Amino acid sequence: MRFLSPEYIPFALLAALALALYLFRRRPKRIVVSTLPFFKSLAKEHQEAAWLRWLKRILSFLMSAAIILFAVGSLARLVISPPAGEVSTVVILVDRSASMGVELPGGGKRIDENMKIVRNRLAGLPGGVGVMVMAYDRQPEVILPRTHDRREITRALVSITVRPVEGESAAALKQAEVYAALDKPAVIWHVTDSIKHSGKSADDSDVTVPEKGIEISDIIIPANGLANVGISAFSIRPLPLENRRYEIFVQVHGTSPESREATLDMKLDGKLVQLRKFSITSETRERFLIPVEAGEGETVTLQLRMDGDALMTDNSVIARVPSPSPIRLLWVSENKSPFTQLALSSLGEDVTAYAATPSEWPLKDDFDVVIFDGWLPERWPVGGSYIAISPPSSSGPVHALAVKSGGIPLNTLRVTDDSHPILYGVANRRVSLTQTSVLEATGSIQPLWIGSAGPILLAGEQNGQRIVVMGFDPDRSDRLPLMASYPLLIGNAIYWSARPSIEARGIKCMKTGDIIPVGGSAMRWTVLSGNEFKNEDQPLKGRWVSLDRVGIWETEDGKSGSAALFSSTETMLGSDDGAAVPDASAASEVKTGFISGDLRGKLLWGILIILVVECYLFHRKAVY
Amino acid sequence: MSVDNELFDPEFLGRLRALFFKLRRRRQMKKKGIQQTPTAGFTREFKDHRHYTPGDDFRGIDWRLYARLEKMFIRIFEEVQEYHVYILVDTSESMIKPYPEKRVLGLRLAVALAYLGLISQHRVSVFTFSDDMRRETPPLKGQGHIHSILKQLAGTKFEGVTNLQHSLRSFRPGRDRKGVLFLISDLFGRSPELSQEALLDAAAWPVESHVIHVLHPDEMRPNLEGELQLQDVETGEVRRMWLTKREMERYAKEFDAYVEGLQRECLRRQMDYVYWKTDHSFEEMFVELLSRGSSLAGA
Repeated sequence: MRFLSPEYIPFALLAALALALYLFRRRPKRIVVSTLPFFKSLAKEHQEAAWLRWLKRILSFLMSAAIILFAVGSLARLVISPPAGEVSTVVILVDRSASMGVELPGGGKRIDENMKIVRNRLAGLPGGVGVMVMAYDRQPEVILPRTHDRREITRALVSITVRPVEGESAAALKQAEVYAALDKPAVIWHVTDSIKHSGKSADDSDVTVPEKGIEISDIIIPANGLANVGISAFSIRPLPLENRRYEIFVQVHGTSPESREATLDMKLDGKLVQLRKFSITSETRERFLIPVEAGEGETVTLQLRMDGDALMTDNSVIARVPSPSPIRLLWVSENKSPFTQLALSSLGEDVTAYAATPSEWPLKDDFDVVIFDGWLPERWPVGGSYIAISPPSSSGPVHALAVKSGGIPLNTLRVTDDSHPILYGVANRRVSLTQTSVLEATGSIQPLWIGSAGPILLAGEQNGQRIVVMGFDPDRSDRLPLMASYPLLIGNAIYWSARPSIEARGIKCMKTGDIIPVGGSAMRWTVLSGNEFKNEDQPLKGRWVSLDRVGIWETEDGKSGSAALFSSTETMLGSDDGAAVPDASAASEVKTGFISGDLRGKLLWGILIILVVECYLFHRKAVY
Repeated sequence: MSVDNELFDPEFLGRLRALFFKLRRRRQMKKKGIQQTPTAGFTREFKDHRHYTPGDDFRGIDWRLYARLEKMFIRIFEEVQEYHVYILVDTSESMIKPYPEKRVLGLRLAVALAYLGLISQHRVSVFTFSDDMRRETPPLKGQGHIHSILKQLAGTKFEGVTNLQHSLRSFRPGRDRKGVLFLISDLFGRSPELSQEALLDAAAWPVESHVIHVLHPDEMRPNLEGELQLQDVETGEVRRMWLTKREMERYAKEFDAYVEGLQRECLRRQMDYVYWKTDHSFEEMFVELLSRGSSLAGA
């Protein structure tokens, strides 16, 4: 038992006043008579037996005290926990992900239909059950802590709106179970759109098994007969060695009970530049690579169109073309090889090369790629990408041993993966070189060329670093430095190694629901409204913000990027794979005792009943 | 002052003696002779002659008158008979509480009647009753026994609940001689109806019955008003009541109807009934009692 407004409890002392009045009441004079039978023959209302009078006095006092205590209990919001074995808590867990906003065939949004069921269940919920409201998309959020106030619950439910964010139910369910476990037995009403989300799918390995005393009841309205298509992945990157040319990767998911035609429009600054048509059937996935010529800062808009599309949130992506900044390259060598210098000079404006000697290492500036030519630092640097040419010894992920006596001439090489980007355009069979270092492939660094003395060319990623190791010296090799394959090999190695940096500098297209650090007091969004762009300002309340719109964002501290839904599960509208859907409309069987929960209403009714009984006794039965 | 003196002080006994002489003078003024009865007996006092009829005792034939008139006459002599005076005194608690005047009156009345009986050479028996009948004295005769009666009555305790019906049923007056019975009580039983029923049994007694209803004026017209707890003096039962003048008027009517009912029932059963309020003059009421045709007064 507890009081939600304990400041009213002192008023209960008024009951002591009633008790004092009862104890120190004026007692009638007692007179001894010998003719009591004659007095008894008088009208009945003028005489009472002592026990009856005592009973009436006690009754009157108890009713007065009860009225005072009931009123105080009502003001102080008396709440009594239900007895053991009865449901004490209901956690309403609402999925507010994008797919909850689909338009149902009968009209209305899916979340609205779900909320109707929740409200019906709430109406039948006994007053003694505490209710907590949570909502989730990618992150769970407590909308309303545990309360017995039904109006607050209704307000909390109304305040929940669909966000264009992917739903991740597992974490939310776990958190809901934590809250539910605080006051067991408990029921979690999981309002969602998918059995997969609810954690009951047979093929889901992450099936949530609630702990004892907690029951999960799903409220699901399936997406039967609905069609949808949406963009589930997007990327834009500049094409190597090609100015103003970019390649856009788009992945589209779609679902439809029958085959439908869909169109993907690509616009630059609002002008249509590409158009792709494709068919959508049951659970379709399409991928597109769209080359486009665009200038820095231009707005790329991808928009899907399909008749009967149930969810519009996932139909568009807006992004700005990134600035084509060149690759910053550092060449560290004691003796600069003219062949390597020639190869670097052939890369043009895409690469800005800087030279340094081993004595100048390390440098303060950051570089996308560093070439260690004939030298390796004793302490391997952290971060970045590295190309080692003819390493004299081992360092870091590079395991090498210099070949003495002039090296090992090799005319034929074995190629392990000729489709590797580093070997793009390289004439592997015509290579003739002199191996100056014996290499060892370790970890994820794999050999690409293998000669008679082991690997000659290694490439791979280790500890987040892209590393290319070349076990030959171009100055001492016969044919390779004179061929076009060498500048290609160097160029490919540089571009492959610089790819993470390029992508990091490139367009930042994030998923909605991502949390980013921000500065300033507001965030400006450019969103698509119909076929036009519209600016919206989002006030910032902290240093971190969750991206909750589809569009381009810019912060006052100069950061920018774009956000879109990018969720195949949301696009597929929570397809249930034929799994049985629980009867969401069934009335809740949650039952508790009569004297439990928020007793304000019952106490007020009690006061009313006591007053009516007192009126009846006072006026009808003359209890005074 | 002892209890004896409180109840029966010399002044009271003096008044009683004066009352007795007053009664005797009144009696002598009415007729000559003393304590005559209408029936004939075998005393030496000649009363009358009557014709002889067969079956009469021939020893009563007046032969001298036969010799003179040649007709046979029987001589009739007066019979002087002694009475058995029964005095029944209610000693329930209602006779002493809340009005002790009722006790004084009841005891003084009993003593006065006993004195009258003893001084007239009658046998006097004193009984007390509340929930049961108790004999206080054996049948006494002779003026000298008045002190033993005084002593006995002075030690009487007034307690218990009135059970008039049971007490009167358990009383059996003797049939050997004519009896005169005085029932001194407030007649408050468990209910007024039970008191009337109890008097039905008294009507069957072979005695001359006098019912003396002792009442206090406040019992007839109580001066009560407002919220009161009324406690019955005998049973202890408590009733809480709101009393107004209207209720008091109704009470008076009820009580008067009760008294009238008792009076009517006694009249129907040839019993003498008198209600005696404690504020009445004792002498006047006593003379009034005996002048209502009591055998004791005419003896």
